[in-house]
Amino acid sequence: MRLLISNRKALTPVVASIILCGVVLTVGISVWSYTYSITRSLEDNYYEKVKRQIDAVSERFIVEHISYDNTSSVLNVWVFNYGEVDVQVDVYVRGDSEGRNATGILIPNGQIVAVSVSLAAEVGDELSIMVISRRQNIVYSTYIVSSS
Amino acid sequence: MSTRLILSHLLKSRTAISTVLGMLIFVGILFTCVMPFFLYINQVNSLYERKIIEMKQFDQERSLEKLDVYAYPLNQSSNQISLYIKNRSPFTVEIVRIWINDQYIPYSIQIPGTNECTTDPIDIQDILPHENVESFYIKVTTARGNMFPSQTNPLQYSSDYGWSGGHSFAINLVIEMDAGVYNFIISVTSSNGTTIYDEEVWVLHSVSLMRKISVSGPDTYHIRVVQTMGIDRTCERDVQITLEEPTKWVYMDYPEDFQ
Repeated sequence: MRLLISNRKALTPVVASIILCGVVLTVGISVWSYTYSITRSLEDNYYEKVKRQIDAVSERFIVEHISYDNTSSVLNVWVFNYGEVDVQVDVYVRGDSEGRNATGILIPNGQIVAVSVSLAAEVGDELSIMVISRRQNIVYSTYIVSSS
Repeated sequence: MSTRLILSHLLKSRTAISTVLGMLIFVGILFTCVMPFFLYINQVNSLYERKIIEMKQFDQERSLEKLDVYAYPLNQSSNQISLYIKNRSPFTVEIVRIWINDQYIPYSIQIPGTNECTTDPIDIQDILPHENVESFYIKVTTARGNMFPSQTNPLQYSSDYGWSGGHSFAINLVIEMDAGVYNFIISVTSSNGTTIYDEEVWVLHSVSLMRKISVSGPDTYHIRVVQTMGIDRTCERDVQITLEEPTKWVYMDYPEDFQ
């Protein structure tokens, strides 16, 4: 010990080794921590992206019934969500009369909702109805206005 | 020998411990971050593919769903209708709604594959017209999102004459009875003696039985229904189908109309 203290040159390699180890550990742990947080973030983003795709492919809905109320000039489009996820839909009507309801009506899974579209139609008008979900799935239907 | 050389070289080298530490950290990053990341991605991809397969199966089942629906009034002036539904698909079908014109009635009934059922009477007093004639279009919706219209559409109701037939040449036969077990043999022959319909039907705890018998055209048809459980009892009717009235409703009450 006395020899080591008296030999000042011997201390330098030891201190250098300790400093080097400390630097390696600090940089290594920082890199590990950064990589860990980046991969977790990438995982979450990827899951969210795939979850959105899964919801889009699980979405199922139909136009179950259509009726036109001549007195109030309202076309009622009953949309049935028979899929596994809730859907938000907009209804566009083209043809002899035009109208839309783009308020993003929410239809919980397993439920039926009547979407009202205001339009002025005559008896015998042919209407093309497009129901588009916010996940970009589309269902079409046609309707000939009858006397109600 | 070579191991001893490497060890002695490492012990002499100042950077040896740091190199080992660096390598350990690198391997640690590989095993705790990179590999779990790829395994996770793989799992999420499997989830997506599994969902696609599930939905394809769901769509296939939906496309195979097939029901024969017959809506019928319980008697000539009844304010109630029933639906006789035959499931022609191989799996259970759940009915979630019955539509009568623009109104729907939430309903829940499950019909096992290739089975049939008759719904409880549905009261439609509120929508029957108090004057003139009105047509009723009836359809059912299944949980898989299919719709099946009644083959007896349209049912026509007149406030003066009650229910009348549709547009095709047919005899709609309705037998009403108390709940129980019955065995009916239904046969229909045309005026020249040709049998155009012959069926044996078991009725289990239903209160009505309905059959739509399509006929070839105007003629007088002879309907013979025999109930064979216990003592045989028979009910016979002659029905005239004309161009003016192509569909006729025939009602038989058991046991009142049977001898």
